[in-house]
Amino acid sequence: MHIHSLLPLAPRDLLILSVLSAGALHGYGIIRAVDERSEEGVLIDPANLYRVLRRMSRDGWIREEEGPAEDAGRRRTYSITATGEAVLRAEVARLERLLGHVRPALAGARWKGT
Amino acid sequence: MTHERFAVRAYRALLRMLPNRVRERDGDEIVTTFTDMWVNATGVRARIRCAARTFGRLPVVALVEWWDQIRTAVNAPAHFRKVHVDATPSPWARLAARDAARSSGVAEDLVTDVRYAWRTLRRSPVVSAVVVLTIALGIGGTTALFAFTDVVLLRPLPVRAPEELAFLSTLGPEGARTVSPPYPIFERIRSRSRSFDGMAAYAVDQLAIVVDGEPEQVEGQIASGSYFDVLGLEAVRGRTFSIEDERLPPSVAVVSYAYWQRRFGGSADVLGKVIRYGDRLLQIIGVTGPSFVGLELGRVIDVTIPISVAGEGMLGNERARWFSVIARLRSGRTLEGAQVEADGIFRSAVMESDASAAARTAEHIRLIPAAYGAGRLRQDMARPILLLSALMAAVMTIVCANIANLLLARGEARQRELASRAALGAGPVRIARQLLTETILLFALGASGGVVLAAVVAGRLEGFLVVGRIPILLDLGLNARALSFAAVLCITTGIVSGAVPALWGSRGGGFADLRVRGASEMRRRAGLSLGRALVVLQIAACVVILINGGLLVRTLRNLDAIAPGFRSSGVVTLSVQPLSGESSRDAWLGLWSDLLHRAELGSEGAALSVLTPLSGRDRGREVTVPGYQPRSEEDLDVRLNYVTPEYFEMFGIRLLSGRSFDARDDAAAPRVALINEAAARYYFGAESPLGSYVGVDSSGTALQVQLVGVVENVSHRSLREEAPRFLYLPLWQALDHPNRLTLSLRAGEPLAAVAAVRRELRSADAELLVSDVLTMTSQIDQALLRERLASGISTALGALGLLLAAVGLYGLVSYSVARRTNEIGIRLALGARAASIQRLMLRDALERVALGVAAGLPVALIVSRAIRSLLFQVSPYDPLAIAVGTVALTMIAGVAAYLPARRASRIDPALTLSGG
Repeated sequence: MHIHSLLPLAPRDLLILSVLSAGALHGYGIIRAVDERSEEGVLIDPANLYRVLRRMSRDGWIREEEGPAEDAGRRRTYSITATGEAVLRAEVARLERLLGHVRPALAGARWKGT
Repeated sequence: MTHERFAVRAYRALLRMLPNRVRERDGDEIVTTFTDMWVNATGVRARIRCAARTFGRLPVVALVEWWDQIRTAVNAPAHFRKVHVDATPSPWARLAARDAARSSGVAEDLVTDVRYAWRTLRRSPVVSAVVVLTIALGIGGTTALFAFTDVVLLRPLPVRAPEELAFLSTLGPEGARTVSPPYPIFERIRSRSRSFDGMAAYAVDQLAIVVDGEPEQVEGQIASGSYFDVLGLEAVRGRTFSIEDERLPPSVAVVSYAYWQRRFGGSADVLGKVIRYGDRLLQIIGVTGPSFVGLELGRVIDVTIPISVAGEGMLGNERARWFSVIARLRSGRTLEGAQVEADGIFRSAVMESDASAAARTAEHIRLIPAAYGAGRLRQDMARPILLLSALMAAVMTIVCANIANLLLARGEARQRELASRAALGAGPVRIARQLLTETILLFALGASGGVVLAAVVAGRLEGFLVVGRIPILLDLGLNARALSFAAVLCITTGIVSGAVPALWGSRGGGFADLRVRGASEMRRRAGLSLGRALVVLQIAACVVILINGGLLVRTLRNLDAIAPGFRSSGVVTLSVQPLSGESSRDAWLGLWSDLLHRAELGSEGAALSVLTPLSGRDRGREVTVPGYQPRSEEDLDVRLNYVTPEYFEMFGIRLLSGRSFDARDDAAAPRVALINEAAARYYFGAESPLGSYVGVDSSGTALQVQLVGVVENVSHRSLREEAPRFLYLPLWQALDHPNRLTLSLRAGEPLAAVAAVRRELRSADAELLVSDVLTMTSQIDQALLRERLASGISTALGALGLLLAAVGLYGLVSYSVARRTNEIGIRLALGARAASIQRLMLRDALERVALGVAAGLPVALIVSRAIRSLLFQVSPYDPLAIAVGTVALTMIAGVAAYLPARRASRIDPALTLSGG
C-alpha cells in the first residue's frame, strides 16, 4: 500500500507516533507525553489508547515488547518501527507543505486587513 | 487509600464492556495504565477530570470496539450491503440504500452518530444528567442487591454436581432441632447403605494452632477422610485427604488457597510444613482450589484436619452429637429412597445399642438437599432479601416511569428538529439510528455509572458484614453474572421506558409533520395523561418503600432500646487459650488464677468465664432438681457457666436474692451455685430456691451443689430471644477444665488496656493464644446485623425513591406549566390572581399524589405483612409508620410541585401573548 494513502493521520495518531519516535514508552508514558506535547489539547483515555496501539502494531507501525515480570506486574512497552517512522515523516512533510500554503495566505490577509 | 481500590476495581469491572478478545489481549495493560493515571491525579478536581476521561469515555470506546468486532465477523461489509440492496427493491430499502451510498463507511457513520448524540445530550445537560443519574442509581442499587442475593441465595456450592449432595441429620420427636447421629451410628450408615456414593462427617470450629512457632487461631474444620472425595474437590498443590488419613493417630492437614497465599505467601514449600494442634503434629499435604471456601456460607474455612483429632472417646461416644454429615447420592437414587434406607440402618443401630432410650426411637433420619450449602446466613437473609427485592422493584418502577417521562417530554421538544432533518433528506433509517444511538448512549452512560455505584455499594456491604467474633466473609466482587444482570436490567429498563411512550405516541400519528404546529396537540394531551399515570405509579411505589422502610427503622430502634440486661460500655472480651495442654486440676487452677491476677494488674477490673453474653458460644448440662418432675429430657437442660466472682459486677448483672460468689468459694470450699431468674421460676415457681441442692451431671454422675443466690436474666443467644435457664458455678469449683476461657476486662480505654494485659499474659506463658478481642458494643452490633442491614438499606432506598419521585413530579408540573403558558398568560391578563394560578397548577399534581397514595397503601400493607417476622414490637399496620410515610411523601411531593407552580404564577402575560 502506498504510504500516502494512509494520510492524513488523526491528530491522536500523529502525536502517538511522534512521542514514540523519541523513544520506547509504556501506556501511561505515552498518555503523559501526549498530554504534554498537545498541552492537553488531545486527551487519550486508556481503553482507546490500546485500541489505537493494537491497530498500529497490526499495521507494523510500532513494535510491542513484553516487559520483564517484576513484582508490580509485567508491563508492555511500545517502540516505533521503520514503517512507523516513514508514515510519521510523510505526515509531517504533508503538514509542512500544507502550512507552507496557508502561511502566505494568512500573511496576505493581515496585510489586506491593515 | 480506599478510593484507589474502589476506582481500580470499578474500572476493571467496567472493562467487561469490551469484547473478550480485546480484554484478553490488553485488559491488564489498560488497568495498569488507568491505575497510574488515577494515582497521579492528586486533588479532587484532577480526579474528577481523570474519571471523566477514563470512565466517561469507556462506553464509547466499547461501542466502537464491538462494532469493529462485528464488522470483522461479517467479514465483507461492502458485499453484504450490495446484496441487501439488490435483493429488496422496496421504497424503504431504496431509502436505506441512499443512506448507505451517502455514508462514508459504517464505522465512520457510527462515530458521527455518537458524536452527534453526545452533542445533543449536552444541549440539554440537566435533563440528560437527570436521566443518566436516574439510570445509574436504579441499576447500581439493583445490581448490588443482585450480587448479594446471588452469593447468599442463588449460587450453588462450587463443587462437583452439587445437586447430588444432601445433609444427613436426625429429626427429634418434636421436630425441633436437627442434629447428626452419634459417630458410631454414622459409621454404620456410611458402611452399610447402598444409596450413597460417599458420606463424610465434618465440624466447623475455630482452631487454635501453632505454625512455625507462632500461635494463631484459624477458621477450620475437622472432617472425615472422605470429605474431599464426597465433594469432588481436587487439590491444586499436593493431595487432599484419603480415607486412610482418618485413622488414628491423625498426622495430616489440608489448607485453603486463601490461607496458603496469606500465611505462606503462596510458596511451594508449604507442603510438608507442620501444624501443631494441641499435642498433635499435622503435616500439610495439600492446598484446595481458590473457589471452595467451605460448606457454610460466610464462614471461610482455612484449615481442615482429620476428624480423628477428636479422639477415640468422642468417636466411640454413642450419645454425643457433635458434627454434621454431608452425603452424595448415588446416581439414579432418589432422596426419599435413600432416606428410608438410612433411617432403617439408624433405627436398628439405636435399638441394638440402647433399647431403653425410648425417647430417641422417635428420631428419624432426614436428608436435606445441600446444593447451596448450610449456615444460618441463608435462612436469616432470605426474608430481608425478599423485602429488599420488593422495594428495589418499586424503585425500578419509579426509575422507568421517570425515564419514560423525561424521554416523552424531550421527544415532544424535538419534533420539529427531527422533522427538519427529514425534510433536508435524512432517510428514516438514518433518523431511527440517530435516535437509537442517543438512547443507547444515555443508557450506556447510566449503566457505567450504575456499575461503579454497584461496586462501591457491594464493597461497603462486604465491610459491613465483617463484624464480631465470627465475621461473615463474602466475596461480593462484581462477577460476570452480576454484570450480565446489570446489562439485562439496563436493556429491559430501556425497552420498558422507551416503548411505553413510543406506543402511546404512535396513536397520534407520525412524527415527521412540519405543517401545522397544532397538529401535535393531540399527542401532547396523550403524552401528558401518560405522564400523569406514570406519576401516580411512582407515588404508589414510593408509598410502599417509605412505609416498609419506616417499619424497619422502628424495629431497629426497638431492638436498640431493649435492655440487654448487661452493661456493655467499657467492657472488652478476649478469648484466652494456653496451647501447652495443662492436664492436672492443680496445674489448671494455678495457671488461670495466675492469669487472672496478671490481667487485674493491667485493667480496672477483670473476670474469667466460659461464656459471655451474646458471645455465640454455648454450653449446657442436665440438672436434677428435687421435687421437680420433668416432662422431657429438654426440661432438664440448663446453660452452664463457670465464672469468677467479679463476673456479675463486670456485666452489671444484679443479684436478686441470696449472695453472690466471693473469695470464700475456692476449690476447697463446699460446692455452691447461682441460678438466673428464668431457671428459678421454671424449677421452683414461687418458692425460694435458696439453700436447695441440685444435681449437676458430671461425666455420668450427679454432683450436688447448693444454690446460694438468684441473679437477673441476661440476653444470651440473641437480643430477640428470651434468656435461657442459667446455672453459674465458681470457676475454682469447675466440674471440668475447659481449655479456653473468656477474659473480660473493664477499662476507660478498653482496647488500650488490652495491649497492657496481653503483655502481662505473654510474660506468663509464651504459648498463650489470645484471640477474638472484641468490645461488647461490637458484639451487640453483630447481634443486630440483619436488622441494621435491612433498615439501613431500606432507608437508603426510601430516600432514593422519594428523590426520584420528586424529580418526576417536578418534571411533570414543569412540563404542564410550559405547555399551558399561553393559557396562564390569558388568565393572568384577564385578572386571575397569582394564588389562584398556583392552586390551579397544584390541584392537578396533588390529585395525582392522593391517587398514588391510595393505590400504594394496600400494596405497602401486603408487603409489610409478608415481612412480619423481621419486625420487632411493631405491628405491620403500625399507624405511626404509615402516617409518617404518607405525610413525608405528600410534603415532598407538594414542594416538588409547588416550585414550578410558583413559576407559573409569575409568568408575564404581555410576554406570553405577544410571543405566542
